[in-house]
Amino acid sequence: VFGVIFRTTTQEGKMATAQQASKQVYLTRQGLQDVKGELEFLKTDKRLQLAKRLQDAREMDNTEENAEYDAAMTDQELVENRISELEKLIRQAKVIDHSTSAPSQIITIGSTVTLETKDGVEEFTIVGRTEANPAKKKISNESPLGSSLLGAKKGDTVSVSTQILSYQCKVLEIK
Amino acid sequence: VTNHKGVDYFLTYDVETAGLTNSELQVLEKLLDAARLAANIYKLQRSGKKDASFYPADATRVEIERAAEADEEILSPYTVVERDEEGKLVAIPYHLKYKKTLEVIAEKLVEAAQISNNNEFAQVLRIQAEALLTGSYDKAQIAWMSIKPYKLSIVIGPMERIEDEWFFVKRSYEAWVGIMNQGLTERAIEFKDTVFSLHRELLFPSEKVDFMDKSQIRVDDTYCFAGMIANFKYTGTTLPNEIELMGQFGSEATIFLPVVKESFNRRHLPIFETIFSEYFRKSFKRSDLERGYLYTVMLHEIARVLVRYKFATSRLRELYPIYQELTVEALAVKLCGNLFLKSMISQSEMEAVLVMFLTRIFDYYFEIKDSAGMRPYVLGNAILLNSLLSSGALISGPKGFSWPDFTKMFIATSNLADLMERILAEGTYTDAKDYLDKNSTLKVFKSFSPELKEIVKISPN
Repeated sequence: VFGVIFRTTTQEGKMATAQQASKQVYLTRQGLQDVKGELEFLKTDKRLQLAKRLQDAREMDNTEENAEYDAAMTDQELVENRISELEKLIRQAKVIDHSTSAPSQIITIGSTVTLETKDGVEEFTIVGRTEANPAKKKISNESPLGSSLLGAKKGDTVSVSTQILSYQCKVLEIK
Repeated sequence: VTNHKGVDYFLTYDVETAGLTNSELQVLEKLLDAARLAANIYKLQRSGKKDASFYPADATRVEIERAAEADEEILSPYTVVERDEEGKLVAIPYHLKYKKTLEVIAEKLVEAAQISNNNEFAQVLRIQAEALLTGSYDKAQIAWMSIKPYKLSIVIGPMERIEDEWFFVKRSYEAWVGIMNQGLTERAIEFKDTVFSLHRELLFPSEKVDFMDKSQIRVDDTYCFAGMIANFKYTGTTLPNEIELMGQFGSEATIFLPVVKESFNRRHLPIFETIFSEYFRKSFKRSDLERGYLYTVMLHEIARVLVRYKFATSRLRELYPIYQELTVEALAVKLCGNLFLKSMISQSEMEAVLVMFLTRIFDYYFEIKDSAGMRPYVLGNAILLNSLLSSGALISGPKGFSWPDFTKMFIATSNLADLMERILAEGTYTDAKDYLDKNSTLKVFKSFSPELKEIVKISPN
């Protein structure tokens, strides 16, 4: 399904990078901060809010059919699941930090790239899948476009080819 | 969906209102009353002729053009053309022609405004009421687009011009009332923002009106349709229609969720089951196709924002909607590929979008004789289908289409979108007419006629 790289220069190396990338959880420094922030919020404020909501629901009605109590319990379960998920994410995270080093010559996770395509120009950052948000210009390293770009250099023309869609773009800039 | 006996062109949909407050429910009922009355005006607009009667039945197109040279109000979007006692053509503003009914509608809107706890929305309702009585429609559209996204929405007034087959100018009355579907609205916004992150190379930048940063989209659980929109049941629409307003104030697209569902169940799923071979059909789940259809509708409305050219309507006149709709539909396929490349949608979702895109090509073909408003879509769809067949993207066999070649489909639709956009951007009326004459043969639909006619019989629009 995902991209096969046509540029022959570093084909094997890039495929290995893409495969390795899919096993690890890559986060930018900002991404890790966001995850930690969310975890902190859930473990403190959100847990307190839910505890109060549960208490209020108990006081409101002692019968077994207490819809608000059931809803609060469901929310509590969701929050606890999310807390576990985030804790696991932090344990597995590999932080990519481009802020302190010189711009990379090749595209890696964390690179902000400017591409030229047949239809125009666009800029986005390649991030790990948990941080990916194409609407905010953050493309997953596992997406067809992201995986095909890994390892490319400025000036390269990269072909993205999937089972049913082919696409070409030129790397104008890497930050 | 409920048709209301005794009230033509008015439909209500059974949608979830549990998330609304008591005052919002009361507002909703007032808006419903206002919309119902707007249906009566549309009925008057259509009276006397099969299609909308904006001009006297005995007038010719040339006579109208000549009269408009002396009085430009004859071709105003918001006037009815009638003959005076001496037989001379005169233009009567809508707000005077339908004054009686409009006064009652305005009252309902003001009453709704008085109940509403949302000050911004209440203000929009008052401005809409004033617009109906004075003809200040632009002001109402700007106010509607400018408020912060709010659960409730109403559009009411003379909006769409597609029923003016002669000049593509006169507006038909319509109204809709909707309740925002939060989750799907967020999804649609994600699609829009992802698509718009690409700075498109502009064809003829001086001609193009770019308002991507001011465009909005929402998905509504539609509460009611009235007037023209109840007649045509669009799955989505983008307002305003005036290019100048769009350039200055942006646009707002609305997707009508119950209509999307109804259209999928009653038309597109049966079309899918009719035009494709069994072998191909088996590889798609119904739920995936339904989602694919919704995404196709969203992408169509998003694509609209990308292809607006300043003088296209005056250059291409009544041919404009054919080219506009066709370009937008073909571009939507291209945008779907863009979403997939960025993993905004999965491959199976993309395939479902492509399949539903193919079923949409057969939309409306069988209503063409009864409805002038659908003619542009049918002709555009014929161009699309001819292009897909000639490119080898589709191969028609005795048991329907075999497995489409999606790769060729992307190439064919992308090339077609570019060509159509060029005609919109700089084509003359003659260019557009010549291309249409050569490429819009409806013969291509005929081999599917017997089966598809059955579908139309089962599920009349």
